[in-house]
Amino acid sequence: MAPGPEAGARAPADAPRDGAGARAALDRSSARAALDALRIERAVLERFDRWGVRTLGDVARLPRADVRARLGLAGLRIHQAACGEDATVLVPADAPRVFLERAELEWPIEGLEPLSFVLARLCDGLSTALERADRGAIAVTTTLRLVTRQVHVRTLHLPAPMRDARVLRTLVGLDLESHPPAAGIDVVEVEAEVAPGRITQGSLLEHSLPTPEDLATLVARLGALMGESRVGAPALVDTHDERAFAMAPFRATPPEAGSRTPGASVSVMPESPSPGASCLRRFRLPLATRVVVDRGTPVRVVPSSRGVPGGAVVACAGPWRSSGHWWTFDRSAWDRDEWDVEVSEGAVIRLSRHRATGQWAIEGILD
Amino acid sequence: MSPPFFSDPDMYLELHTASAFSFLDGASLPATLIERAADLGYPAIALLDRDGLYGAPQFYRAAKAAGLKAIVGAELTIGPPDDPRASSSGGRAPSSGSRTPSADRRPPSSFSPPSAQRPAPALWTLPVLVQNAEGYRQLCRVITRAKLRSPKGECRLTLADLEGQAGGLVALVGREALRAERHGVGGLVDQLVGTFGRTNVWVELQRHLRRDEQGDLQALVDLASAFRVPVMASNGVRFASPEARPLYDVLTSIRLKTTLARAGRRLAVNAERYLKPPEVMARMFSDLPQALAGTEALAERLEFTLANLGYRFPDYPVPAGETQASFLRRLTQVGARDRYRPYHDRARAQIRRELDLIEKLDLAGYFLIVWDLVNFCRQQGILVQGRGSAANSAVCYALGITAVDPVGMELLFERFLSEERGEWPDIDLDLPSGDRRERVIQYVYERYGTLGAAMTANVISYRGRSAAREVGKVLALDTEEIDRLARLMSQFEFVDPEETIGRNLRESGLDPDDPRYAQFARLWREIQDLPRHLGQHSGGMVVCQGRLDEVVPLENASMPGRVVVQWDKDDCADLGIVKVDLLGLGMMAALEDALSIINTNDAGPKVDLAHLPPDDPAVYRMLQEADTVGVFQVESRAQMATLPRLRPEHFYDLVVEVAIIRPGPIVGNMVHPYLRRRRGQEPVTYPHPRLEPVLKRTLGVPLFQEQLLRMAMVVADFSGGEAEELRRAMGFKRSVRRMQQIETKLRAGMARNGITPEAADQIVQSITSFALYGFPESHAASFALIVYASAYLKAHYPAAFYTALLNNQPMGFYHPATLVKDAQRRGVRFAPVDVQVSGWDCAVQDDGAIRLGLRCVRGLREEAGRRIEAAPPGDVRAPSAERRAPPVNSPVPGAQRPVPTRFTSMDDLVARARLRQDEVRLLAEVGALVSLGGDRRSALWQAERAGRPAGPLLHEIGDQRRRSAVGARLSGATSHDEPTGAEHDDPRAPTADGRAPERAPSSQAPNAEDRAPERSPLPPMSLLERVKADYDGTGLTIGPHPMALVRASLAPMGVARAADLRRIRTGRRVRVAGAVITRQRPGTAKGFVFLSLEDETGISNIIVNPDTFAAFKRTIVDEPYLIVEGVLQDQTGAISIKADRVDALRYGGPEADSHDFH
Repeated sequence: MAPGPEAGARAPADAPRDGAGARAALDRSSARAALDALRIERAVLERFDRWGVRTLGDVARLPRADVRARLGLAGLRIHQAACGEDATVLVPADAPRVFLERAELEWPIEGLEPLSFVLARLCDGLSTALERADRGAIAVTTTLRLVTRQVHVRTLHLPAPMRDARVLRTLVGLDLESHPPAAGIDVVEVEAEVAPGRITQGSLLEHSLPTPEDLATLVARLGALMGESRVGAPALVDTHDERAFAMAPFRATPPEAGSRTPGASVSVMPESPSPGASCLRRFRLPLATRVVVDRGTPVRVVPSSRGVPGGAVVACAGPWRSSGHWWTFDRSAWDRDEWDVEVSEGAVIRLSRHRATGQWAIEGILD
Repeated sequence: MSPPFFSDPDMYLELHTASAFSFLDGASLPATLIERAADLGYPAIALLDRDGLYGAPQFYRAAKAAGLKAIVGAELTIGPPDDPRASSSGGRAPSSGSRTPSADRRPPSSFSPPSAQRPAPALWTLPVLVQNAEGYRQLCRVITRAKLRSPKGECRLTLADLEGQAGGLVALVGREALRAERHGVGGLVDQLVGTFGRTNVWVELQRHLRRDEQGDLQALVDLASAFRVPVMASNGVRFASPEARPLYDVLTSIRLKTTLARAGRRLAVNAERYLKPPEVMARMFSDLPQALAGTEALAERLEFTLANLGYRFPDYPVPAGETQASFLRRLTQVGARDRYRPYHDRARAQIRRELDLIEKLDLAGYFLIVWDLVNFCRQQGILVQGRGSAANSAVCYALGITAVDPVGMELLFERFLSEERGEWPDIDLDLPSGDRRERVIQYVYERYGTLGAAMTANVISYRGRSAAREVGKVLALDTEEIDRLARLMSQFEFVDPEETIGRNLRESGLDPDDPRYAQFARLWREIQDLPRHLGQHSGGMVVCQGRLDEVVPLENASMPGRVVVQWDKDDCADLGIVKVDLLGLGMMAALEDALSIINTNDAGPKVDLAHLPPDDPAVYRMLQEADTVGVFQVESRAQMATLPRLRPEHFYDLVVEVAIIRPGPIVGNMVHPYLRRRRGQEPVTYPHPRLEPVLKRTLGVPLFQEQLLRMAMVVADFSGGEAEELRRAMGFKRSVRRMQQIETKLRAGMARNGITPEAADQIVQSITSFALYGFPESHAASFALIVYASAYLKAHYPAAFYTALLNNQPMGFYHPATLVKDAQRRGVRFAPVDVQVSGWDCAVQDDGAIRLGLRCVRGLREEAGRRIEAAPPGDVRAPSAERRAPPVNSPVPGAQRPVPTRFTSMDDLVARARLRQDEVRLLAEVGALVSLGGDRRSALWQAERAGRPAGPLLHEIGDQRRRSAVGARLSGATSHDEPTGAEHDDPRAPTADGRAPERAPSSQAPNAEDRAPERSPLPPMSLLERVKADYDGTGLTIGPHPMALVRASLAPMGVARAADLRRIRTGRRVRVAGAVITRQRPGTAKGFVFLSLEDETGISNIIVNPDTFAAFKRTIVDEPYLIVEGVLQDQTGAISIKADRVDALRYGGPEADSHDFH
């Protein structure tokens, strides 16, 4: 049963309504209790202070009608609380339902394959419970108690409410594949955080997107394969640093009118590059190289990696200079010159030179 | 014809430079840019600040000193033609369908620069350079027009605004123009060619090593070729050297109101926009030599500099048959006969000499215009007095501009005006602050026109705390860190040499090893003194014959009806623009008000400031006892500590007193020698016998600037003008070189006169002490007059004096609470704020007591207060209990008779004065409603309902209830649900001011049914509560001092009262306690902190040495009440306590305000 909001006042419940009577009935210690006990707004407390009213007894002594006339309904409630009255109707409240499946194993499981059978059983139960309650899981927390008495906990946030047992099992399994427990498992618990079930209406006129379940499974599979931090959609970064790169979680969103590209957050190249424009294939990590310089201009490039074009410089444009993030103390600050050079091996490459150290690198190849 | 700049092929000059006066769009001061340009060997350099010529005077001054030519220009913000803020002048938007005059010369192909797909920006900048004087006038006018129609801080033009206004200006078309491209850049250039003329449009090429600039550069070259306009090279400079780029990024982030991390591509792409060496520019433009040649060719055409602004001071209209000089002579002679009685020969000779010089320098008009202003003040009954060096002039004295007789005081005229200086004299007028000064300012606008007069600007620069906050924000430091760093950067004026950033960081709980703080400190140092925005000088006005907006751009000030020039007063003075300072002085307003009160109320002879009895013994007695709270200039703690030692006896002593407590004499160690010599404890000696006549009046110790001048004249044979030049060089902090040059000259002169090196050192030391803070004797004399006048009124008319002070707050050194307590100690009686009686201002009643005005109630709107004041009195009633039993220490015997009442009830008050509920509450809490019946809490109880209007039906019910309640009370019955009055009203409870309870018996009200307040169930306020309510609501109390309430508990602790200290021997340990009313840590006191503690008997002065301060820093800075233990020092009547222990005194007393000089 939920307690009434004024229960904290602890004033005698039988205090009469009017101030004169209240004085007689109030318990002495309660009457002297400070007003803080009522958790009153600061502004109202300050007003009481200006009135010289500092205890519950002081409030109870005031005529209720006058208090209401000055402080409104809030004043009325405070007065009632000060008199120990609680007019709040009691409403029974259901305990929040927990969607939890648990299995205590007779002997420890080593490895993920035997665990998948256990997970399948638990996810089936969870799925049934979710269906009965017309709920979908938006997050699944898997708790593994290990033989070492450690607890391995993984929480998986789902892109949409879902309750398909197979999908849940796959996602939990893939997540554990990426983050396996360190020892054998004694107890397995799978708990779902839920939201109302998802109702979708398909369209005859638009391409249907992959279901969130399919997409989540795909992303989870890719994450398990590549590493979680290496899966996502490229994000635009507001910087002059051309090396800067950032990824955002991939989200499938309906295509906007006029756009044929699914995934609005994905930046795309223009449909047809303007004539003469070239594309840069950037090395994710620039390749260190040796460059021979004559009067400040590169004349020969000697790459340190095989398969990278080099040779004498046939044509050269630059330098283009950029610098920034000078206020940071991580390694994001940069200050470099860049050249676009055509080398004798027939390629056009982008070179960079770190201005503080003088080190050269090949940033990418221009097609 | 001037020689070509580029006689050397590697020579280069920069024609597009912005300084920090582009306000957050430039990172170097003009002087820094010039210094760098001089180092690089530039022959000339152009400053183009954003929408103004803010930095031009400093740039010109620095360039002149460095031997460079300073070219003038500006970057104009251009908006789209349909921008309502830009087109209010009726600018014509070019129509795409119509052909412009040069449309037939447009390139045939559609011109599409590489960046054509980008959306057109709303605003872009057009750099323009001034070619000749006509161009300068046009530029000033154009900027003024745009500024005056825009809100403060903004400026928008359209190209249409420039049509017909571009003569003598050269426009540069660069990448910014490409960004504009509203009708295609070809059309834009075509329009510019039409507006400026083909020979006055140049295509500007810049190379900043940006990948995206090459295409634009090629487009611009093609554009120049297509439109047959020349190209020129520049670097679009934003800072002097690459090292300033981080600061530029910081300023950019501040301008964009973001952090460095979030600013992204809005920050500079690299650090290339600096003043580059000529060889670098030559290399960068090796493929475009015509661009560098174009720069040279253009620079040769730009002949205008600020050397000749074309400024002319207005002519004063004189009667027919008179010239300005003859009219001035006539006025002066008439005035002199009135001033000098008799008009003796010395005065005649001095006036003749001055008039001759004024006529020779053609300054008669200036004196007439100032005289006209003074005359206006007299006609309007506004008190006015000239101050500053003008008081050295007998002509000013004769014209009534100043009140000090320079002949009688032997003041040095050359300090005011000299032939050698060749500059305008400086006359400052002190006026009563507030409305009266505003009337004078508006008179100047009326007389010379909105475009003929303006206020001088005040450039607000980044300083300690503001700089710390801004830098902290852009570095994205936590709010708490920023607060700590801001506090750290300027806690007090004094900077301890050991106060390293590391130590300060540690003390503030910040990790000194955190590199972010080192970076913060570096940027904080770099941003110091960079201009932040333009403010308005407190009183400097410039006027012009004709249009001032052709001399300097004008713009709106924040204050409505005010226009400011873009230059500060020093810039105006340097460029020969005449300035008159109309300074608001709170004490002038107070004196004027006090005289008005005295002459209105007093039946005796009228008091006239010009004819106060000289050398009044009561005044000097009061000054000798340092009883000077509220007295002009000599009320500060340091002045009060000096007065008993100096013991002024004559007017000249006051002149010395005003001048002696200044950084100049203090830093120069001249205070103590003077005081010792005055008391005969040290022989009077002179650095050199030749200086005896100069220093005799100040006992061999130089105290005034005039003495500095005379010293130079005597020992080094300087002329009056040279001596003034010396003073200015010494006070001119921006030129160390200039100071050294003149010191060399001074030493050489002294050596010629056989002065030994030791004596010469002493003399130079005396002179350099005045470098920045010296005080002119004439100025001190002008101030001393006000000191004497204010002291006279305090001594003889204290009620009027304190009333005037209270009505002119904020002013002076002390808060009103201290003024009231000081007045009470002098026997002045006070009556509380009362809605039935009080006006908006405080007033002296017929009985001599001061009735506090409604202005004292903090939070009460003036219009509401004025409505209360204006409410017509209703019926007459007997005085309330409050009046029947006046305050114990402030009896108000005259208040016994019946008084007319304004309001019959609180509802009546609320309805007629249209008060808000919070205002009624405020009035109730400070006791201003007591006269409506009941005590403060009763009034408060009623006030809580007063702001909630009931409908007519409920109102009637309310009336019935009130009537029945009153009836019941009168018949002795007790209401069923209300407590008895006896329970709450303790008749013995004293009031805040020691008077009887504040409840007015309702039976005394003539119309009890209307007046009877609702019975209050609230307990009446205790004495402490009332005192606190007084402080909270009015900042003062006329009741007991808060310290009196805890005196009983302090006595057993051996805490002495301030008044007891006089009876304690020097050297004894004492303990005092009080409310902190001032905290000072002056820069001249080597880390010592001075506190003033006030208790119910007076003020005690505490001196805290640096170690003690370090030990008790937080207590001293944060606590409102202190207990201080230390050793008593009595230096010839100046009593202080040298603290060695400081504790907080916490007893729940009111939070009194203190003046902290951080």
